[in-house]
Amino acid sequence: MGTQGSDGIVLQLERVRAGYGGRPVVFDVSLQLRRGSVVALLGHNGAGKSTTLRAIVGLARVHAGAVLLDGRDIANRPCEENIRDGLVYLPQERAVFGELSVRDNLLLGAQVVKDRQAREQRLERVLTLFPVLRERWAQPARTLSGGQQRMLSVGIALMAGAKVLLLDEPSLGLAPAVAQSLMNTIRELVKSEGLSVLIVEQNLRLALDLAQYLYILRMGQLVLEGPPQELEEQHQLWQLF
Amino acid sequence: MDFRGELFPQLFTNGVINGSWYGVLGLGFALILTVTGRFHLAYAVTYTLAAYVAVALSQDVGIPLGIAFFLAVVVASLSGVMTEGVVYRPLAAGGGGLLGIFIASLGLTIVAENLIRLTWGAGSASRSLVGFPLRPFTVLGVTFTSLDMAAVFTAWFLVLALAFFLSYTPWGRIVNAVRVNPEMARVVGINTERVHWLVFAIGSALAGVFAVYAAMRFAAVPDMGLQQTLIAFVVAFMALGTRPVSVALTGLALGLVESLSGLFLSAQWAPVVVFGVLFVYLALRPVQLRLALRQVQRLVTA
Amino acid sequence: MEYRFDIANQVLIFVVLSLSLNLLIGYAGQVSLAHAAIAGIGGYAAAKLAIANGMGFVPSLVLATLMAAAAGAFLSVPALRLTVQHLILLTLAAAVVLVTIANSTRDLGGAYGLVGMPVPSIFGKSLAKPSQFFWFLLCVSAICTLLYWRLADSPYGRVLRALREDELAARAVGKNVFVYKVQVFALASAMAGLMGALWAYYLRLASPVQFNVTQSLLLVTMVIFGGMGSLLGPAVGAALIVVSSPILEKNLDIGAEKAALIRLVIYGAALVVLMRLRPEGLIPEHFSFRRALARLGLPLPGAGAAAGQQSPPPAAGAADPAAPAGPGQPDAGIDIAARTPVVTVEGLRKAFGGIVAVDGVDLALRERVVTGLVGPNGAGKTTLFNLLTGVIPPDGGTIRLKGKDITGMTPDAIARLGMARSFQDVRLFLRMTVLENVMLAYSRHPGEHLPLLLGAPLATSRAERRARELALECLSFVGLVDKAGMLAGGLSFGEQKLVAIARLLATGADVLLLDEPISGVDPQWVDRVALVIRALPAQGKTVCVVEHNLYALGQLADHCYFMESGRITAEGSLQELMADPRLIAAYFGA
Repeated sequence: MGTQGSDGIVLQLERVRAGYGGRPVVFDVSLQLRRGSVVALLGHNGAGKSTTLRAIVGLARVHAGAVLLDGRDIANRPCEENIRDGLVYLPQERAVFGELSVRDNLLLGAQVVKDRQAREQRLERVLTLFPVLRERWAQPARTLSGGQQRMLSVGIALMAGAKVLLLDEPSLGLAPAVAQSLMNTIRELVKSEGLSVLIVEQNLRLALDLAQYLYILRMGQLVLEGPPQELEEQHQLWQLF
Repeated sequence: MDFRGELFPQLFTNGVINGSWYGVLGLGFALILTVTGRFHLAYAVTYTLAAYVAVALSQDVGIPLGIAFFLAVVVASLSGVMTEGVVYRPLAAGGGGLLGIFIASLGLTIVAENLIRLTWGAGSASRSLVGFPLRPFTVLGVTFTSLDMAAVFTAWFLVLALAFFLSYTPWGRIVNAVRVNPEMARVVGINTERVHWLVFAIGSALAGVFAVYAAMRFAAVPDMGLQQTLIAFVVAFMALGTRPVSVALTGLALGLVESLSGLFLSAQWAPVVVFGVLFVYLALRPVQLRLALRQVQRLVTA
Repeated sequence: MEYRFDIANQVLIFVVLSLSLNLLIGYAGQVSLAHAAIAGIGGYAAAKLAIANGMGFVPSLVLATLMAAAAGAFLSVPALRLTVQHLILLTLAAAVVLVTIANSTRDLGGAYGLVGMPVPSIFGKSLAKPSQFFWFLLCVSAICTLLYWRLADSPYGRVLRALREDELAARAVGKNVFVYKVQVFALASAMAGLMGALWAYYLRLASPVQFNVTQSLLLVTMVIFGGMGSLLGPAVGAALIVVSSPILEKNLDIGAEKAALIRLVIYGAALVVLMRLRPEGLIPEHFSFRRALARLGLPLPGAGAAAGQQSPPPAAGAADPAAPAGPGQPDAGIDIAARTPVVTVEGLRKAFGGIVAVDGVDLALRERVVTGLVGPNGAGKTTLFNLLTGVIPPDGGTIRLKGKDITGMTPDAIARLGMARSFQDVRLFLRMTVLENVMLAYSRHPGEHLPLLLGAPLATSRAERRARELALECLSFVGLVDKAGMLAGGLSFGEQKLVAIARLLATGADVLLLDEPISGVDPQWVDRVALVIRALPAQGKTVCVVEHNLYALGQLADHCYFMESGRITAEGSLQELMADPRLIAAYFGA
């Protein structure tokens, strides 16, 4: 899917070393995300997956290497500028404003969008995609079920005009069926909205089904990469961790 | 017993006046605390400064009272913003934790209080702000002044205005977003630093308004800020929610408890009652107590 | 001459007050804004006893001290479970209440205070003049300072600092947090009360102004200015602040009142600047002539970040020769079933609200076996650890350690019985040296108990030597002896995890529970940590490991339990477990 060839690469990491304060957690990570594709980043707890995502959007420090968005180096740029360019990160678990209404959550997503009409069009689009959010319009986000909250955070990202979506363990804490349907939703969004997704997942099965390409991190370093079929054939799954 | 019965309406009225006052101060402090996380003892500086600026402008420079009032509130607002920008933010960026910020805040308070003493003379630093058309009223045996009425009216106007601002305006939404989930706020592109400025400006302005009222009702004294800040602490920490109305009601309740204790104790004991309540609250703080109070609060605000 | 003695007397009183406050703030981490008020209890007690009851000088001092100590102990009880900001608030409230009571009680003289105290005298000698009072005060404050020194610069002070750094970690190495907090509040308050009483006798007055909140804030300023947690820094801070007032007065040719105000402005401003430039105060906690020399002797002045980059020195000399040579595979030949179970768990249950986190778990940790606990996120592994070590009480089931039922015991009691744990997030005492971190774990140290510390100095110093030897031994086991003098906060994460293991070893516990010892460790340290853990059984240790890094766990564990949704559903070697497609599905998601 999407255009192939080197110009189809929307996000690229080149030998990125990143972490918090002076301490690197991620070492020499290089990866590529093609337009309209899903790439998964896998690894055990503490392998540095979240840090990689946070470094891309400017929430963690890049010590060395380059983060290229459409060919431009965006390393250590403030978060809000990345959002204006459609690069949106959704953190693990607490990716909604729990005490605020669904409405406020969605409007906050369009924080950087100044054009009123564009905002309303997007809102309409999101509510068509996720009708349940319209039903829960005035309720605080924390009263939504886990799956609905995840949809709301994806909705927030769409309101922000996401073209490249970085998802941090969206299936965490969801029942298997709910997680599965969330993944289907993401798959459809990739098709219908032309999103490019870099996803961090603990749930290997979901990631293998969803992603076209996998990177595996172990202790802050990339140890394996390849398309899912290839990795599945060549290795025992648990050894990937 | 009859004696107490007669006192009750007057004490109740005093309680409402003071409690409304405490509510607004607590609200300003709570807003700063919950959104920025700063333990802002220098709230006292803002308060004292506003009172003295109003007195100086009105009495020494001769500016009309209304304008002096307004300018004092602006100065209060700026002083809060400056504290955040010049002291707290650099400290936080350098890794100073809650304690470091509290101590710096303490330092500022000491400096301000004593600079005022130096400027206005230690013994005679007490300055009263005159010029308000002060008229006493007596209704059904209860006495209060036009100033008290104005203060109570202003207090509830400000509380409701802030409640409206936070609930129904885009900026209010942004402030709430930072309070509820600062990380997610950054994720959606909110400049959290700018929100901190805003919150310090609003919170400090609230303190400024009531500092000027205090200068009119009693007098501006160098340690007025610390006393009122301690009360604001109590209100903010005991408030059972972050909604402006909840905080204001907590302040009102505290004012009533303090004032009605006058039925049984002499007025000098009022601080013992206020801080005794806080002490017991902190010491016992079992979950059940909190839950029970929350139930009551739900009934009140519903 | 009397003028100088007067200043000297003030200095002495404030030095002891600030040192005693430092014991609370700097050592135990209990920020109190009621210290002057507590001193006031002493002052008012002495004044009242002397004026109303005609009690003599010394007996009234003793009684005043005891009353202040009791008040401090009383205050410590609600303070036990409070966060820093709530503690600030609580002590502030206490101070305001006390001062208001003094201010509004006629029997206590109201705003004027208690006046007309008798001239103190001792052995028939009058102490009316400042010079006469000075010598007596000097003796008393010298005794107080020596006592303070003994408490602070000792195993006892080390425990206090551990409380300040991390209460949970202190409990995990067997320290009874409750007792220490009450003691330190009582001790600091006793010293404050004594000084308050002396101050009242000196001025022949006990008034609210002497002991109000502003005075408490001034005391806090002195401590912070001099250096929180530094042994004598606060004394320097107090002396400077007290002396500066008369100096300003003389040099600027201004009145005493104005000088006092200018002094306060200067110190307030200094406090703000200090927080920015030198938050540790004039004399920082770890500044000491002796240590400065020791540090020169150590070849490792580098910061932690740099240390992480160095290739780790081999742990070979450290680990037991019987241990496997490399981070290879666990001993294949162990007959697990033949080993005696040291810890047995039966039917353990814990629910949070409606969610059953641990649901009838049975397991056994066998002697000198490394047992792994694997399972998906949220399976209840950390909850199980918390139950085993008493951090949270179970709803049902029993835990036996070496046959003894330890269900429902506190973490420190369980640690003392021989089962200790490490934490996912390490929880070292970051502002203490590596050596202190490990020495702290030495159990049954007489120097950590007040009566023995003061009454049995020889036993204490003997134990201290033993603790040091043991700590160095444990550090050499993990190969970090050369970092002993460094602050734990300056180490790399991998090194910190190793120090945590050394600390665990030093507790002398035979059952060690390791919560994710490998996760988050820099790659170059992983093999090193694994090697150290592999060497533990040869030291007679029984080990249980929770670890998400399966690659590493495969090298570590002799035997694994598989945990999902709060239950143990399988056991065997990691290879066996991971050969089961159902478990794979459970671990990685269906």
